[in-house]
Amino acid sequence: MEVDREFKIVTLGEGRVGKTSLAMRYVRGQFNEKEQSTTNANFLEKNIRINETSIKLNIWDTAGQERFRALAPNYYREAKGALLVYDITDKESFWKVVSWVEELKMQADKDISFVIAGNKCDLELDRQIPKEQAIAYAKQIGAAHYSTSAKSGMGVNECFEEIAKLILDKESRSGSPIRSSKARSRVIVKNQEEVVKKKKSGGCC
Amino acid sequence: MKCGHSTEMLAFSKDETIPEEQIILNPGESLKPLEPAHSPQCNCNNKNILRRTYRLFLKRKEQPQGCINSIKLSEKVKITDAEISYYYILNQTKIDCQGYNDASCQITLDVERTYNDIPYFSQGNGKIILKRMLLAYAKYNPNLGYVQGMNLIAAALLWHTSEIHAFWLLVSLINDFDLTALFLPGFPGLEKHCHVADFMLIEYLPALYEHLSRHGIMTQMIMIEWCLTLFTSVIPLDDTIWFFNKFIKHRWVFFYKVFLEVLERLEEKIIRCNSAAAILKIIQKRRNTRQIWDEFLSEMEKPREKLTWEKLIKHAKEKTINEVCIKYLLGQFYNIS
Repeated sequence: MEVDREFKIVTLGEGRVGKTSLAMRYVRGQFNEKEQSTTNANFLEKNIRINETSIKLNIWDTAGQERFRALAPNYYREAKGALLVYDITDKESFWKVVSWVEELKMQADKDISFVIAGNKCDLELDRQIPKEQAIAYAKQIGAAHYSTSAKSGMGVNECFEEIAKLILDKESRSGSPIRSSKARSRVIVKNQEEVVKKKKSGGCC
Repeated sequence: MKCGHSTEMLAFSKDETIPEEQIILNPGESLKPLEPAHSPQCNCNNKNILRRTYRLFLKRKEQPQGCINSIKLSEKVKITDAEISYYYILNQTKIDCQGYNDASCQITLDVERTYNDIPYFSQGNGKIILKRMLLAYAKYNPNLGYVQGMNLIAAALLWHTSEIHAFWLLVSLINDFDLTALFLPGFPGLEKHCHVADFMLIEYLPALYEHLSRHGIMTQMIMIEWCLTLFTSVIPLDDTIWFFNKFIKHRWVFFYKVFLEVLERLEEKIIRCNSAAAILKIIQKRRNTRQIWDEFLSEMEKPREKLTWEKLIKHAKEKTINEVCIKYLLGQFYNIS
């Protein structure tokens, strides 16, 4: 399959909230109740198609323990999207997300898109973070919020695809080159000469 | 090895001292056996017909501290009553402060997912004993507390030796082999080792180094896992003993020999890949099942070769590399930078 775009995405969040489980569920469709802890960042990739654009997502799944935070900049550097994961049964993990957002806004790519995932929704009874609060926070920072469960698979595809959509949207709005029909028409307006060249090379005679 | 001084535990960290009444010491109980009891879980003794040295060893001591292959390791630490009682006191001590509580939380989470494909750790006593060991270490060295990676090293030691032995071996590895710098906040030791690893790759596997750099793969991405777990995330539990034995004797020089041996065997396959994803797929596998471990090993096989980890470690040992250079770089790194 031909790939039009390639996006780098990182997963961030406190230890054991389910970053690896979400990524593994999304990429491999597997769920392991007792996923091993991540010391190294895992690298996963998945090809998807959004509005006729085929996209390759390069997912860096980082280690969550506080100590490893010092290494995170190596992974979120040049990332176009971040999936911030918290555990709905663990208040602290939500505040970690807030602090990640602060850090990314300062350090990461200016155009980075955020999606917040409230994971472990299969444990609804133990919920400690009210959904409304999380959604309100997401709105405030211009991110999307998803309720996910790596165990049941709920919301997993949606949250990753949302990141890809957000990145595509941002790119088309800022006018950076994208090989989709919509973006191409923008180029025409901007630069007539370029279009002429393109037409020539694309012509059959 | 210094031990037996319970006052050491009082110094927690610079700004957090523990009120004395929170420490409950029962030195009188210090020689009670630990429950549940632990004995080596490895297969080493079944695989080897007991060697003469081991038989002598058995005669000399009442109880072997570990399996036949761990004799060399056992000599690294001397276990006397003082060590036993100190370990027991560490277990009895109750500490309530932020640093320790954080470590304790993380340990509780991590023992649940350490080698959980192995029944001893998922269903047997392994989980409880590993937790006890890691908590004791967090009390013993509060400046480090607990860092992911320690769980795998501790579990591997526990697999081959007795609990008290495994604990003091962990202490010895961290103190005497400069693992402290690796585990400290900010990982100052990791930077140093990545620097050496870069050097080694440029010197011995330049084509591979160029290929990795071209695809944006930093040595750090490989080294963090291998360094912090001392290859226990790469080598299956039963075979970790081969690495530890040699590592204790030849120290970090040997680490780099294994590092180069593994990468040299994978070089051809890695160079054939033309994306970062494909390369990392080869180097970092999630090794949690026997099958994946075996796959990784077979990827490193040369034509008409039946590779085992024991053989690989032997090959690595025979490698000649610039040892002076490694020692110099490791010793002088902080002075240089």
